[in-house]
Amino acid sequence: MKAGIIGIGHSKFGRRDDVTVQELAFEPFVEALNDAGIRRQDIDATIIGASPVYMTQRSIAGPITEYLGLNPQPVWLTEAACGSSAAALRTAYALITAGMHEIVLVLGVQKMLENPTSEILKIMGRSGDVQFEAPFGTTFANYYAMYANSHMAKYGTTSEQLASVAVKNHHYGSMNPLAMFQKEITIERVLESQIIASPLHLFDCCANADGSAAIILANEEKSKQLSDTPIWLSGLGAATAPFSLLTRPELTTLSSAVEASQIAYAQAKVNPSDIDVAEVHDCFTIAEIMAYEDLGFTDRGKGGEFVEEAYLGGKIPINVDGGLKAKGHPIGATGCSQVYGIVKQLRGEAGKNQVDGAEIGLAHNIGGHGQYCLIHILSR
Amino acid sequence: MDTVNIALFTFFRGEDETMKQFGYKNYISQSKIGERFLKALREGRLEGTKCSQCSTLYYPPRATCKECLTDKFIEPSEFSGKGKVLSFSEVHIPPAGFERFAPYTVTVVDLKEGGRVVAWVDDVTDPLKIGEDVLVKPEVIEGDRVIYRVLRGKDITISSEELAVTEEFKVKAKRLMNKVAIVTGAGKGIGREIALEYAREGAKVVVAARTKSDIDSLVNEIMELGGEAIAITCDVSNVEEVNRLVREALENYQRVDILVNNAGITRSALIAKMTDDIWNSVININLTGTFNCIRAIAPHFMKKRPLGGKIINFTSTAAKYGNVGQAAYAASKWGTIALSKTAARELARYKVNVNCIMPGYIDTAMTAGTPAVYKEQTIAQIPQMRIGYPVDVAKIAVFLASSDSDYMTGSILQVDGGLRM
Repeated sequence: MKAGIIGIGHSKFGRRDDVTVQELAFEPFVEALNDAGIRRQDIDATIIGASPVYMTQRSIAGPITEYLGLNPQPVWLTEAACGSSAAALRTAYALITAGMHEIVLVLGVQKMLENPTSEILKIMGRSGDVQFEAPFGTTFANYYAMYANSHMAKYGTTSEQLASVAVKNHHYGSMNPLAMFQKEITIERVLESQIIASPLHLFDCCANADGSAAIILANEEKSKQLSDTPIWLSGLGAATAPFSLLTRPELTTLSSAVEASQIAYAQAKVNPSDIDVAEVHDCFTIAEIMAYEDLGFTDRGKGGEFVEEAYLGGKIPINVDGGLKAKGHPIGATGCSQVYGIVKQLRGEAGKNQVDGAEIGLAHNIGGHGQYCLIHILSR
Repeated sequence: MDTVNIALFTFFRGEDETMKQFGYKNYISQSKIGERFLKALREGRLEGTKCSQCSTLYYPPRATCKECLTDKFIEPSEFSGKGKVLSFSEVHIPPAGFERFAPYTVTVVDLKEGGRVVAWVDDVTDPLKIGEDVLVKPEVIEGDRVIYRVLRGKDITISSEELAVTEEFKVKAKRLMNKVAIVTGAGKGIGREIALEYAREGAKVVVAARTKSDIDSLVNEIMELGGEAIAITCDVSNVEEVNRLVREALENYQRVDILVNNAGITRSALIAKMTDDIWNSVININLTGTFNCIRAIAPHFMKKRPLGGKIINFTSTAAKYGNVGQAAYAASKWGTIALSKTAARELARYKVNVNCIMPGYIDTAMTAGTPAVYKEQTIAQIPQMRIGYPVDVAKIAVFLASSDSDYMTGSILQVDGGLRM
C-alpha cells in the first residue's frame, strides 16, 4: 500500500499579528484543497501538528477543524516539539496504509510570537531536563552551541563554516516570497552579529515565527485518480535519542537522525547519494552541518566543508527554499513546510530554486534538541 | 591559581532567585530516593546510585535501574565530583528570569565514575576548554533544590576553611556584580555617594561630571576600595559630550547596564527677577541633560533586549510642592517626572526600567549654602527630624539598579524622611 501527496499549501511565515491561529491554518488549508482539486467533505480525517505550549488557545485541533468546517470528521493533535507536523504526517501515513482512511489532511500550524522572546526561550529551555538542566538557564541556542563547541574541538569546524550555512540559506530565502527573511547576508555580517550563546551568533540561529503549512495525503488509488503528479512517501524513518545531555552519548551528532535516516533509506531502497534535493532541520547553522553527516551526505567531521556542495549545482542541494534559517521556524509548521518544499521540487514547480530533474527528495525534521527525528523520503 | 582564589571564584550569583523563576518545588524530594539524595547534597557530596545486579552507575541518581527494570538492586554510590568538561557555552541571550545572570557559562561535565552534571561556571577569566579537569560541588538551596558549581584550577580540592570564605562571600553577595553603570554629576554629593555605593556592590562605574579633578579623585577612591571605575568629563547639556560619554563607556566596557541621571544644578531667583540665563541653564542641565543621556543610551539598551537596562532619574520634592525662588528648578524636576514616565512606557518592552528618585532635604553642596534659619525650619518639618545624607539616597539608587526592582517602572521613590509625604 502506497500513500501519495496530492495537495500542498503554505502560508507566509513571519510575524503574523494579522491573523488568529484559526485564520493562519485556513490559508494553507484552502491552498492545499484547491491544489488537490477536492472538496473538504472528501477529507476523512485531520491530524494537526503543533506544539501547544506556545499558544493561548488550548486543545488547538478542535478550534481549527471547526473553523475549517471539517466537523464531524475526526481530528487530533500530534506533538513532537519542532518535529510535530512530521510526526503528524507519519501518523497520517499509518492511517492510510492501514486502510482506515482514504484521504487525510496534515496541517502544521504555530503562532509563537504571541509570546515575547524571553518567554519562548524559557518554554524551549524546559524541553531540557527541568530538574537538572533548565535551572541553569539553558536555551536551545545554548544546547546547539555546546554541540558546535564539541564539533569544533573534535573536527576543527570553524565559525566561518557555520556562517557559510547561514549565507547559503539566506541566499535562497531571498528568492522565496513566503520566507520571513528575504535578504542576502555575508559571512562578515554573521560574524559581526551579536553572540547569542557562544560560539553561535544571531545569524547562526533561526527565528521564532508564526506560520502554517498543509499536506493532503491519499491512498494509492485516490492519489492516482485525483492527481497527475502524486508525490509518493517512499521511505519513513523515526527515531529518538536521550532527551537530556546528561545521557546523550555524543554531542557532535544527533543519533536519532542517524537511526531514522537509515530506516528511511532502507524502506525507500535508496542511498544518501541517490537523494536529489533535501530539506534539513537548520534551526542553527551547526544543526545543518551535523545533518550533512548524520544523513550520510558526507563523512563524519566533514560537514563544515560540505556547504559548497549544498548549493544548486552541488552534490545535494539542501534547503534551497531558505531552510528554517531564512523561512523562520514556526515549530509546529516546519515539518510540513519542509515536505511542501520537496513536493514543489519533485513536481518541478520550484521556479528559480528548481533542482533540475529532481526525482527523490528527503525531509529531515528534528524535535527538541535531537530527542526526536522524523525523516521522510519522497519520490515522483 | 591558588586554592583560596578557587574558593573565591565559587561565589555564586543570586542562586536562590534562579530557581524561583521556575517554581520547581519539591522536585527532588518527590523522588523515591530524594531524601537520601538531598542529604548527600546538603553535606556537599555527590551521591548517585548503582545497580548491584548490572553494575550500572547513575548520576544524577535513578531510583530504578534502566537496564534491569527494577529498583531491587539500587544502592547508593559515592561520586567524587571530579570530571572533565564535555562541552560548554556562554549564554548571552537568556530565557525569562535569567536576565540578571547573563552572560553565564553553562557546561556539561562528564564525571570520572560515569554520569554527568550540567553546571554553572563562574570563573571564566581563563577560557574554558573541552576536556579540562574540573571539580563539581553541589549546593542545596531553598531546602530542596540543587545548584552544581564547577571549580577550576590545578588543585581543585577545597577545604572547609575555603568553603567558609565562599560562604562569607555569599552572605555578602553583591547586588550589582559585573554591571556597568554611568553616573552623571558624580563629582559631588549624591552622585559621588551613588558611584561609591555601586562600586561596593560590584559594579564598574563610569563617573561623569564637568569638573575633572572631582571625578579623578573619585576614581582613585573607588580603586582603593578594590573597585573599578573610569572618569569621563561631560556636560550633560551638551549633546556631543553626552554622545561621547556613552561611546567611551561602551568602548571601555562593551556594555552599559545602568544610567543614573543625577547631574543637576539649582539657581534661585524670584520669577519676576529670573533672567533667561538662569531659567535656561537650569532647564538645560536638569531636564534637557537627562533627556540627552536617555536618548544616547536608549539604542544600546534596546539592542540588549532582553537584558535591557536601568535608568534612574532625579526629581525633587521641590517639584511636588514648588519652592519660592526655584521656578526653574521645580519646573525642570517636574518635567523630569513626565520624561521618566514616557521613557518608562516607551522602553518597557525592551526590559528597561525607568524610575525617579525624589530626594527631600539632603546634606550636599547644593544645600550647603542654605541660610541656617531656613535649614533649621526645614528640619523641624521633617517627621524623622534629621537632614538626609547622600548615602540614604544612594541605597535607593542601588535598589533601583538591582534586580530587586525589576517589576518597577515609571515610579517615583521619595527619600525625604517624610518631609513631603
